[in-house]
Amino acid sequence: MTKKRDDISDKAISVIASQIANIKIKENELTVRAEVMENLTESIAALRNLPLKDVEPAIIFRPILSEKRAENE
Amino acid sequence: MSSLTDLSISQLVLGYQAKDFSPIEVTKAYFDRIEKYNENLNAFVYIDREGGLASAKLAEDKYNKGDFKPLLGVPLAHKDLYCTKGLPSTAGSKVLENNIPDVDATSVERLSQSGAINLGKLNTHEFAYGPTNENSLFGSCLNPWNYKCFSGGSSGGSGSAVAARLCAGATGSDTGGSIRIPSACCGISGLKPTYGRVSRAGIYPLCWTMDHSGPMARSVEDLALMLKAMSGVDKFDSASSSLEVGNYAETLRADISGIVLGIPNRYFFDQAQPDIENSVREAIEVLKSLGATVIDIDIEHIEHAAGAALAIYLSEGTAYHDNGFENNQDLYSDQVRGFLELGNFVLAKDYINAQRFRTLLGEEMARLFEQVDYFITPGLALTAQQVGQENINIRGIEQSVFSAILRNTEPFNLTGVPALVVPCGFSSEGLPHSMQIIGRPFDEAGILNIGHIFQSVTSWHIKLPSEVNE
Repeated sequence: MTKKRDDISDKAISVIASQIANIKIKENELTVRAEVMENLTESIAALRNLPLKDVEPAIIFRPILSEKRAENE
Repeated sequence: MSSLTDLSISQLVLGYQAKDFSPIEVTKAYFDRIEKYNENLNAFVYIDREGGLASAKLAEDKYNKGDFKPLLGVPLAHKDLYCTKGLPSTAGSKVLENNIPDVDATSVERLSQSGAINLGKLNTHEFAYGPTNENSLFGSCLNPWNYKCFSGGSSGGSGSAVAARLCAGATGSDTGGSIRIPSACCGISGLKPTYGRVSRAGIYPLCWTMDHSGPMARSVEDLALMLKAMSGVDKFDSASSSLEVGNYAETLRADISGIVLGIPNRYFFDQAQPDIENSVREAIEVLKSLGATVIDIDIEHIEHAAGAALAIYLSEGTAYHDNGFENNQDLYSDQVRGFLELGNFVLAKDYINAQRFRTLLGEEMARLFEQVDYFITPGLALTAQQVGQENINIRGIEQSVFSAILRNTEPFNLTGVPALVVPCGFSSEGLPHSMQIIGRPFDEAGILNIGHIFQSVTSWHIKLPSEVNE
């Protein structure tokens, strides 16, 4: 069973934003962002409990033909 | 004769052919109304008087020569998310404040080729990233039924302008409900076609796998005429479908007796404002009186639609805007910048799970469509609210206006099936209610048929909004 994760903190938002996305979030906005993200994350994480074992994602890879070849086929 | 701006698209075309009035007279009548009401509504963000009148003159010459086209001389306008050649196309954002494209979006081009006149560009929530149209470079777009309320969004200018008779019809785009939400809030008809039916090319993306383009108009018959002109395969949109385009206006009047309607009570009805539920149930009774059969259904897993939609548009939206965001972030409004920042925190596995959920939900809807022909739901769970209102309590549940307003529409962006909203009543405060009709993939003809038959025995769709009724 997965360990219950900690709530998303101001610091986590700040570190991930700057180190992964290379953006700086203003200090006075961090708490609001963290609260919103915590709520959103909960609803998104709930998808992990669905019966998705044999279900493929809706996006399917399609090989791309050159435009000229596609017109000929 | 009613005012020229009250006439439907089909009435305009018949009147032009009979020479009862001319495209120039009608176009001028629309510009007069824009001048009178737009300052309060903020629906048009760019008015192309010169181009509109030039197109009207060309249309008039063509009628005189007997050179007819399906929408010849019909005054429309386009959501500012659509690229329009030589005209400002800002997506409602400071980021594109000075953007003037050198090509038209495919839908704009196709409507022009069908003879439509472009009156200008319509307000949108910034980059379509919000369902209220309160947040735009040009300020909030307001509702012609009550200036204190938002128009709904993101295609708010389209909903407000069509309802207020500032144009005969308009284009919209719909990622989580952005055609149907402003249509429902403003009391007009709006169609989100099947994913792939109408090209997305030339429309600034919000979320590639959920973006849809479609028409907004006062009547379903007008939607059918616009849809025919806008639809078809497009080599500039990799998702566009090569399936044959229907003759939607010709199948509107088919008898609906014998059709089976599925009513998903859980989720859609039981968390809507009670008077909205009443209006939609009365509308269902009207359809029953016309011969439809009604059965209760339940869409399994529907309660996860909001989480899946969030994971997808946060991820795709942030990916689209990532290039240059670092240098441009101060140009975005706080709300959109916040969403774009949050998109960095969605895990790849959650994005993939959300895309898997779409398959699961699509299979569930396909299973139900073996038992019923259409689903009927309230268009929205709530009416338009006052500008600036962040939360709402519906049946004892406190929630954000954003999430409540997306609730009934976004499941059908996830599965890509066609969905139509039509007005079906009013609240005690005089704000519109709407019914949503959902069909199988590419059955636009079927849902338009039901909507048109409903409008042929009701009059909700022809009422003039109170704030623009002088």
